[in-house]
Amino acid sequence: MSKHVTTWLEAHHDGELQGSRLQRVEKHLSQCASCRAELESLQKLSALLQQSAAPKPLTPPEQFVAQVGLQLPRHQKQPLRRKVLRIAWTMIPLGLLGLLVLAQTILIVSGVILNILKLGLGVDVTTGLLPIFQQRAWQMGVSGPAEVTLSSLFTTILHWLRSGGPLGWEITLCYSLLLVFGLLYWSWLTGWWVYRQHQQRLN
Amino acid sequence: MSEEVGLSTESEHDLLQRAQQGDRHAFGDLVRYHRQGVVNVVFRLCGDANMAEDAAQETFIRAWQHLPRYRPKSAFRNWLYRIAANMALDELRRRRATVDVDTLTHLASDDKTEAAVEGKEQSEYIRQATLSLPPASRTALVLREYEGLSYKEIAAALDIPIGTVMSRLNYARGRLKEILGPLMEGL
Repeated sequence: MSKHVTTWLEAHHDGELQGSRLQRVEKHLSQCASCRAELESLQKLSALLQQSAAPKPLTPPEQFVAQVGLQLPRHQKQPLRRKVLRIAWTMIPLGLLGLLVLAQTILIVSGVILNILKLGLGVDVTTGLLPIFQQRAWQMGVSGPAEVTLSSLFTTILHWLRSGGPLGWEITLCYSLLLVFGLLYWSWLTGWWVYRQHQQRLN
Repeated sequence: MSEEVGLSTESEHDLLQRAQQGDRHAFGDLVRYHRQGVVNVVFRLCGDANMAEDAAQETFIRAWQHLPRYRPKSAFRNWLYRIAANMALDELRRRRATVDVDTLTHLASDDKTEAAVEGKEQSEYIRQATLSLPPASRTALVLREYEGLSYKEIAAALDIPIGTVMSRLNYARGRLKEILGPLMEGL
């Protein structure tokens, strides 16, 4: 007779054995009365444990579900990644406002500097830049007409800006910036509203 | 056993996804399906029906709070049972409910007791014997004997190696055989 299989009896009783090990244990059990008795005691114990009655429900199922529902906190604990995303999302308007303030400050400061230059209190930087672009356009003219066209276009825009454009370049830029930031803010607000609606529908 | 037999894996997955996004109705359905299983586990671990229902409700509330963190690597039932077991053992620790094992062993060997522990009393006696086990072994035994979880599922639910599951079950059964020996002879 082979060695006792006491170690594997519980796993066999719980249906956890497979393959060759299961075959080995079953073969041994067919030959060993001691191991069979041990297995039988495990089966008796399981049967006895099943005699211990399960609790009768004190609360009807629907009432239980309703009680749990009433006690559920409004918000679930979010994972760290989602928390960070949520904070980042709420910070977007502040970020936009900060960028707008920065852009406006740059515009105002550059406007003041340009006006000082126009009044002849310094060297006009844009005038200084023009010969460089014209020279560059001549150099690129050798390589092909496309570059010449691009350079010419840039020079034209620079002239147009210097002359003030239809409303004056500072004002045009200022309104364009406001428009862009306004659009971004409204997009954010719409996204937030859609998200809130979705959350309310779920609750 | 729990009532989740009527819930297919697909629909449970769907309910879970909705509940993770904050859908209370979907979570209500999950509570309905797993209520009995959770109450049973808690009852077997703490031995008090009132405490079991309270702790089961707490289990579902905690599950709701942590649901966004649940990853379906293990079955939802196992995840719930893990919370339930912790909840029951915390509750027991709070109430310091202890059972004198020596008294139980003495009672089981008493001839007069053998006749008395029938029917309801026998059931109560078995319950007390189970409660006398150390919490770790008791949890493994309850999940195996009453909820029918496999070793792998118990290991996942309690976050312990399969070898530890086997040794805890072995210890629990050994102790119960000592305590319930006289009753087993009658089977």
